[in-house]
Amino acid sequence: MATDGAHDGLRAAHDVIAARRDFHLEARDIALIVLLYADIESGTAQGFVTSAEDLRALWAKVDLLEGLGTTNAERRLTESINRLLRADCLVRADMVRVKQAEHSQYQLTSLGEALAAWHVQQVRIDGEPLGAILAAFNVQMTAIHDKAQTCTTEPVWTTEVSAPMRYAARELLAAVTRHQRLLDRAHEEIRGFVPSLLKESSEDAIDRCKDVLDTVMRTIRDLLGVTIDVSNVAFGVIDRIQDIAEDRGYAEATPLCEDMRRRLESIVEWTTQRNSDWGSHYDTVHSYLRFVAMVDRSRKVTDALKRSIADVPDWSLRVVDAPRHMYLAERPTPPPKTVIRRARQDFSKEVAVIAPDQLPQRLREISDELLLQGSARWSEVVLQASEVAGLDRVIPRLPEVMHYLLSHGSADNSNRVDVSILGGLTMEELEVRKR
Amino acid sequence: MMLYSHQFAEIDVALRRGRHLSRHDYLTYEFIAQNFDDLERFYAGYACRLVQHPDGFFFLLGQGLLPSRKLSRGVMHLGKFIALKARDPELTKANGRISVQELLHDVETSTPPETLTKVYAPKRKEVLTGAAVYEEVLKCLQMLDELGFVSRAGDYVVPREAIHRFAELARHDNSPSDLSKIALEAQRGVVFDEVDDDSTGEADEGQDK
Repeated sequence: MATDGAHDGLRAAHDVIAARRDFHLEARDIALIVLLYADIESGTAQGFVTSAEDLRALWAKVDLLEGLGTTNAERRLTESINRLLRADCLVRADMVRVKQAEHSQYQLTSLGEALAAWHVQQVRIDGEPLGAILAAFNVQMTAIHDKAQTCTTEPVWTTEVSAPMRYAARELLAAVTRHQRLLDRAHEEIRGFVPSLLKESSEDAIDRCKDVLDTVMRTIRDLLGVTIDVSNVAFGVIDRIQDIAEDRGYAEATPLCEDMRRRLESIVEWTTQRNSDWGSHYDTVHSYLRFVAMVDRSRKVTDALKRSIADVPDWSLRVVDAPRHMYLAERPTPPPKTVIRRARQDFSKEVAVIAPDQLPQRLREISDELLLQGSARWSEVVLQASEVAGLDRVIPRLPEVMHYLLSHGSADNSNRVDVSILGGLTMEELEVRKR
Repeated sequence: MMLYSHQFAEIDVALRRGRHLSRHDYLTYEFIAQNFDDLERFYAGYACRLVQHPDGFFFLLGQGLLPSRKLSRGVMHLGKFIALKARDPELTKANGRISVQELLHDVETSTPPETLTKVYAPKRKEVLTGAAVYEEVLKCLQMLDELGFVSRAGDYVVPREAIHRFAELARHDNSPSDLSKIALEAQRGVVFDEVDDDSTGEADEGQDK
C-alpha cells in the first residue's frame, strides 16, 4: 500500500513538472470563489453549476469590496475566470462548445471548494476555546495510551498508536493555530478600538474601555491557567506512552513524542507571551486613564503643553546631583604596545662578541697588591701592567693609575727621582704609602 | 535594619543621582512605599526631602547638604515634548512605546529651527538642522533616561510616570499665580529663575551646586 502511494505521488509530481502546472491567483479571484462557495452552501445558488450571469453578480460584490467601479468590470471578470480555470479551481460545466459567452456555465472543483472552505473557516468563530481544544486532545491521547498498553508488536504499535498520535497532533495544531489567529485578530481590533474610546474621554467611554480591557485580561488569564493545567496532563500522558515504547524497544515512538512535546510547549509559550503582551497593554491603558483621561478630560493641560513646546523653556526643574562615589579600584594598566615590524631582507645581521677592556681592572688590582705590601711605586705598577697588556696600552692610562694611588694612600715626596724603565722610558717616580 | 540592606544602597545611590523611581520597577517602588517614613527621616538629616509626587513616583528634592542642579533647556524641551506625546491615546496601541527615529523627526519638524538652535545648542552660531539636531536631542534623551523620566528599550523610548513632572506648569495653563509659583518651587522642585544659556544638553553643564 505504502509503495503504491509513493508511486502515485511520484507520478503526480512528474506530471506537474512535465505539464508546468502552477498556481497563480489574485486576491479578487479567491474572493470570487469564496462568494461562490458561500452561495452554494447557503442554498442561494441553484445546484452546483453557476452561469456567467451569476458570476457577474458575484463579481459586482468583489468590485465593491475593492472599491472599483463598473469600468472594465467585464474584462477583469474574464481575466479572473481564466486564472481560476488555469489553477483548476473552476471548470467549464457546459460540456459543449457554446456559441456565446453568455451561455457558459462553471463549476467549482474540489480544489476550489477546499480553498474557499478554508478561508470561510478562518473567519468563523466556532467557539472552540483553547482549553477545550487541549482537553479534547487529552481525551484522544488518553485513549491512545490505553491502546499502547495492549500493543504487543511493532506493526500493531504503528497502526494503533503512532498513526493516531500523528493525526491528533496535526488536528491539534490546526485547531490551535485557527484559534490563535482569531484571538490575535480580536485583540488587535481591541487595540485599535481603545484609542477611539480614550479620545472620547467621557465617563461612559472610560467605563466601556475598562470593561473591554478587563474582559480581555480575564480571558487571557483564564486561558493561561487552563493551558498550563491541561498541557501538564498532556505531558504526563506523552511521557507514559514514551516509557511503554522504550520498555518494548519501539524506536519510532521517541521522536514522535518529542515532536508532540515541542508542539505543546510552543502552545504554552504562545499563551504566556500573549499574557505578557496584554498585561503590558492593560497597564499602559490604565496608566493613561489614571494620568491623562481622568484628570484632563477637557484636554486643557494637553493643549497648554502643546503651546509651551513652541517656545524656549523659561522654567526648569531642580534635581539632586550628588557627586559620585570615588572609585578606589586600581586603574587597569594597558599592556605595552609593541610595534611589529617586518624584518629587513636587504642585509644579513651578523653579531660579533667583543670582550670588555680588562686593563683598568688589572691596573687597580696591581695597585692594591703593592699597597698591601706597604707602598706602591708608580714605575712598578707600569712595569707589571706592561707585561700583561703592553706598554702602548698602559701609557695612556698613567694619569688614571696616579689618581687611583693618590686616592688610596699618601704620596712620599722624599723619593721623587727620575727612573728608567723598560730600557728607554724615563719617568718621575711617585711612591705612595698606604694610609 | 532597612538601612543596612543592599536594596537601600541601590535606591540611595539612584536618588542621590537625581533618579525618579516609578511604578514600573515594582520591587524598588514597593521597598520605598513600605519604608517611606524611615527614608523621609533619613534624608531629612541631609535637609533634603523624599517626595512622592501625586502621580505616584518618588524623587529626592535637594535643598540642603546634597548639591542639586537645574535641567538644561534642551532637556526641559524634550521632556515636555515626550510628556505631550505620552498624552496621545494612539500610543496605547504600541504599549506606550515611541520610536526614537519618529521622536527625533517629530522634534525637528514641529519646532522652528531657530527655537531648536536656541534650545539645544545656544552656543552655536549656525541654525541646527538634520543630523546636528539629532545629535543634541539624543544627548538630552540620554539625560532623561539617566534621571528615570523615560526608559530606553532598543530603538524605542517608553515614557515613565515621572515624565508628567514636565507638565507641572501646563496644569496651571503655563502661567501660575504667585502663590502657585511658591508652592511649585517648594513642593515640586520647579525653578523660575532665568535658565542659563550655558545649560545645554551636555551632562557637565547647567550645574547649580
